[in-house]
Amino acid sequence: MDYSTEIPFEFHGDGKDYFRIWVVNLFLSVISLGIYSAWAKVRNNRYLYSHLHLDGSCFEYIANPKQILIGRVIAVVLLSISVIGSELFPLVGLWLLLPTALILPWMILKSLQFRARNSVYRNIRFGFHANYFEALLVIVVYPILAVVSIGLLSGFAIQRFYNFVVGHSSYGNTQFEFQSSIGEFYGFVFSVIFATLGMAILIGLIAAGAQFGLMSLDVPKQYFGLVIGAMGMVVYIWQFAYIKVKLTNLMYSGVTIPAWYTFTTSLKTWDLFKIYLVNTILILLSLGLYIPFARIKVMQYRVSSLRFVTTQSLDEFTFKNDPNVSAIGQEVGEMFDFGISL
Amino acid sequence: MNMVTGDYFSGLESRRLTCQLVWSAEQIRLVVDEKETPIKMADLNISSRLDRVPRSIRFPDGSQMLTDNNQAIDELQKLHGDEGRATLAHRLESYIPLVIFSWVAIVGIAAWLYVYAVPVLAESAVALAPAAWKADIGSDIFDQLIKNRYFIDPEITGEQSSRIDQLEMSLLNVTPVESNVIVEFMDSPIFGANAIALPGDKIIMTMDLIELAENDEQLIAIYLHELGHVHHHHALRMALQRSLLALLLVITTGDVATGTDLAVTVPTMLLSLSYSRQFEEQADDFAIERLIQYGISTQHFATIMDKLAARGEGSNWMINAEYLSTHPAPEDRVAKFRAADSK
Repeated sequence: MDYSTEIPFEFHGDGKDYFRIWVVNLFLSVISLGIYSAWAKVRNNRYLYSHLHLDGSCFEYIANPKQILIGRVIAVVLLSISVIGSELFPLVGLWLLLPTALILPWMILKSLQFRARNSVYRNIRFGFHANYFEALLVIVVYPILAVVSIGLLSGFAIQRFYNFVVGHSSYGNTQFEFQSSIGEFYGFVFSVIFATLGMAILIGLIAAGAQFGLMSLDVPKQYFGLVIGAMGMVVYIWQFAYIKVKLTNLMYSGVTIPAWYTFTTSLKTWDLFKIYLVNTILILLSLGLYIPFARIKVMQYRVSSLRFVTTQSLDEFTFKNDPNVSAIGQEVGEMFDFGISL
Repeated sequence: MNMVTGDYFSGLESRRLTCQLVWSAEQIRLVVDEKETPIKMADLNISSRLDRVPRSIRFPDGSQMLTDNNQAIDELQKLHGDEGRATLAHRLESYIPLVIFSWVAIVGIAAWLYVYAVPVLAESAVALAPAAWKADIGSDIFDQLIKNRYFIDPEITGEQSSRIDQLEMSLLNVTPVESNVIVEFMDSPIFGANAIALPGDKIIMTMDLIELAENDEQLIAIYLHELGHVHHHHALRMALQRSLLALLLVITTGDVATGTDLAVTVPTMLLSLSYSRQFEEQADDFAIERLIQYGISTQHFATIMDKLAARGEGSNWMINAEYLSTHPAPEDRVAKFRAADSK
């Protein structure tokens, strides 16, 4: 198949505009003791989704805040039980593991369904069609296998997870397929291991050098920790960016819509690292004021590298709506969003 | 007649068409491909105004119109009886004084929650909790620590045994009568020379610490510091404060996006460490007060702290910086005890 036309995704969000929306909504959420947070989430998401454009049309987020509120109430109750339970009763904490392992896949599944069903492009909804058993396998069983096998099955577990997320997604009646192989994910695992080892050696050298340098400069000892802590944060951010970039590239390059469409993405670790680093510093210095600007920056970069590759214009090939799901579907009523983003 | 142009999507396929919405005070018509359909206002599902985000108008048949012309849609809604609910949130979000006030208020509320509300809540929860329950938690944690070999039963030689007996007597002398505190002497491969206070009135002192001390007074000083933790229920309050902080963070920053959450977790860690520094200071104050009361020189605490610091030389310095440590900088603490002695 010869893919010829590349359609870029575009993101037109503006930090200053988004800041206004974000901060007022956060304030309303706080003074309403969290109740408004469901409406705040919809408005934040609407802003971000609607500034994402493909081929002259924008995406839309159309969730009903009341469903988000219900999901949040359930999630906060469950979270309170597990956080307080495990802090206060270390032994009870262990007993909470089993119910958590059983409930978590259901919550993630509901969140994925909710997000997909409320994402719309050109008045056609996205969808997510998986059952609880499939979610249990990729979210609990395979990760446990990966741990038990001392990581030997990790590439398999990660690939299965992304295959689950992508392969069960749809746009209208068109099912997505996931084509990144298990082998490629093992490549990812090995590159993370080597990068981490390399980083560990580098940090060791820098820390030793810094300790020596600080001592010879007569810097009071209590500042050593701060310097080392700051360096540790930089390394942590780099690793975060590295993993994010590798996984995102692997995920999007694996998404195809059979016979017609595929995606390309070209994120670079160094670029994303710079954005994360500057964002983190500015957020700390601005007491959180910079969070919305940071979000826009990350979105802009991620979207700028994402392209839709196709043999023809989107107008010429049409995605049919799933006849089982009307535009304002009835089944939505039983869905919740637990706000678990992956 | 007013008119607004936009994109039209049937909802059955992704093809984009152009359409017009034409209205007067009496009627509304949708024009697609020169085909006109009359529509009632009540049947329209119009998205609320949000900055310059295109307005979505959904029709009863599932089709949709998207238009950038927010102004025109606002007028349409006004003309047909909307009192401004559809643009209320947008007007709030665009009102600059509110934007500024929101930010100031959020920073203020966050500081208030952190400095005042969370500690007070935790304190009153601990005060309300029944003693038996606290003891249960303490023995739960103790069992876990033993099971994970943080502490192991020491092999006590005859000489040590009499030392410990003597020490237990000294400790009993400085323990208030009403206190139910239990002291355990353990070996710890992980903590080395250390003492730790658990919920449920239990204090563990390690054999390494006893070896390190030159006299009982130094151990009494450490013990009184730990007794300060017990007295103020610090272990339980810490657990509660950490839980509350984590919960608050989830509730308020529920959807902070990837990459920025990094910037939320780092401050939280620093915050919960500063709680623990406050507790250490309280425990130090308790120890100073009691040492003076029993006529024991506070110098002993300073001496044993110096010895601990000297022991930790090279291996422990990474956590010595004030902001990254669970304890205040050792130099400051020692100075405080020295100052108390000279009074």
